[in-house]
Amino acid sequence: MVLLEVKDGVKDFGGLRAVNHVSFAVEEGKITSLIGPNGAGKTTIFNLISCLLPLDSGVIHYRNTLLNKVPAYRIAALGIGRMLQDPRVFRHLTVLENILVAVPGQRGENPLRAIFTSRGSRRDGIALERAHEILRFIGLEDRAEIPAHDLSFGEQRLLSFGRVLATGAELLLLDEPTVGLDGAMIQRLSDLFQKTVTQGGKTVLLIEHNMEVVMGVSDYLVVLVEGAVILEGVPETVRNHPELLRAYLGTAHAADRHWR
Amino acid sequence: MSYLLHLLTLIVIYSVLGASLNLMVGYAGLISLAHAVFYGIGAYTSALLATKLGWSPFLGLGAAVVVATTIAALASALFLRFRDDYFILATLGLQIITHGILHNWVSLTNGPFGIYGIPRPKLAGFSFTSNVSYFVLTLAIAILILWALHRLVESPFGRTLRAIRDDEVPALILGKNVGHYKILASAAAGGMAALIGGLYAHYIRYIGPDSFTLGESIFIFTIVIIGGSGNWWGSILGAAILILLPEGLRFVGLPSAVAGPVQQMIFGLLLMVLMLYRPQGFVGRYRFE
Repeated sequence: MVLLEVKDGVKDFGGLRAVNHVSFAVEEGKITSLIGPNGAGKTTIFNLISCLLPLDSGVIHYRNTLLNKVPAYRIAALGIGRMLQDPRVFRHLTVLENILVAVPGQRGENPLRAIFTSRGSRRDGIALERAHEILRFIGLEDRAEIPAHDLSFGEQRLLSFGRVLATGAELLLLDEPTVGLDGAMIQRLSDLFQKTVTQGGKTVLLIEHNMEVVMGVSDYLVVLVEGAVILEGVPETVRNHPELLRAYLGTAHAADRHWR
Repeated sequence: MSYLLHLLTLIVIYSVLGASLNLMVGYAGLISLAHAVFYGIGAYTSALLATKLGWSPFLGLGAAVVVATTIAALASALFLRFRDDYFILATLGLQIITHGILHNWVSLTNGPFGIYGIPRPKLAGFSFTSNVSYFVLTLAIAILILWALHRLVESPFGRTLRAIRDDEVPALILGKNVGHYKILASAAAGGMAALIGGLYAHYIRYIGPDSFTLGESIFIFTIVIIGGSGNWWGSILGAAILILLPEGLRFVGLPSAVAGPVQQMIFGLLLMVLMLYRPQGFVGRYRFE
């Protein structure tokens, strides 16, 4: 079943066409990856899906909802979670609080209820339980009470991922989650992504430059160049396609740089 | 003794002003230079209802809260179009406009002459005429306000505000209606300032536009900075320091023409030293970056 569908999406920035009549679909329960060189429009597409930017033309559907006019704060409730490229944790909140913020439906978020109803209502207890569950899953349980800015960069990425899980999102938009991390942390994160899909039933749309990760985890690839989809398919067919090689490499000498 | 009681009453009033502004500055990350506006709206609303329409001050205080909360919500909804520094400038504009209205709408506010003969409240036959009883009343209401603030900031609502202060974009993506939260924080802060403003009017029994100037807003803001943003205990400490410091200068024996400027110099110096060595304030949890 198709969970998310972008149809003929166009986005211009001034005279630059960042997204050029892009169409693709994301299958439920799969990991779909957007790949392409820098400036191909991948992050812009994420901004369009998460409603931080409006489309100039075209449509985006999530399940049966047309996303074009949805305000950004509503996408989480619809079931779309996004992990930004920089971890952007809430620096002064503890690790646990970072997760708790993201858990939806807490009564005390209404200021009048916060003042006049008793604390630790049953539902907030559920939120706390859920937050601890997520901390265990991402392996930050022992860091729960420290301020988020004391975490290492890799741990902040984990926390940022946990925060997205806490919203209960079904579709996870992950923007270069492994960039700047060492091999062990890359392994840890990509294991977590796969686990959320295979065991948690989530769907992932991934932007990733690390080809080893992309080829290892993806079920389906969409290749973008200069804002347009030039190629899509399963990793086996895309991997050695001459179009991909040309798009990424241009010259043989650049090959080593991009393919690590 | 009565002098000491007067200082204590002022400290209580300014603690509430600082703590309520702290909800905006320290928790929601909204720097406002218009807090005296809501303090003044509260004072004028309650004073006018009591002197012109003969309302009981307690009803007037309720009306003051409703009026100020509404205006704070509308103003913040409008000002959310501006970001960061521009938001501060917008609040500065609101402060100047409000002072202009209080000063010039003579038929309503009596202009620069202000409002005289504001009555002390009565409750079930008891009149809060003595300064001791009025202090107890003010303290009781202040404790209620601080308790409400404490509940607010320790709740999921307060946590979400702090998240928004740290970084708006992820808060938005995680499903928080950022604008809505900022309006709620501003409205709550405005309502609390108005309640204590009303109490101030019935305490001092005369109010004029010059009690609610930009200088007053900056004074309240200084309380938050000195005490520490993101921690409302700090506002009580900040209020105590800023009220008692100039009073202390009186006893040094400086002539009043010198004492005023010296006081301003000490405030300025205190702020500079604090920003250098302890930018989060004496007991603050959050430092500006």
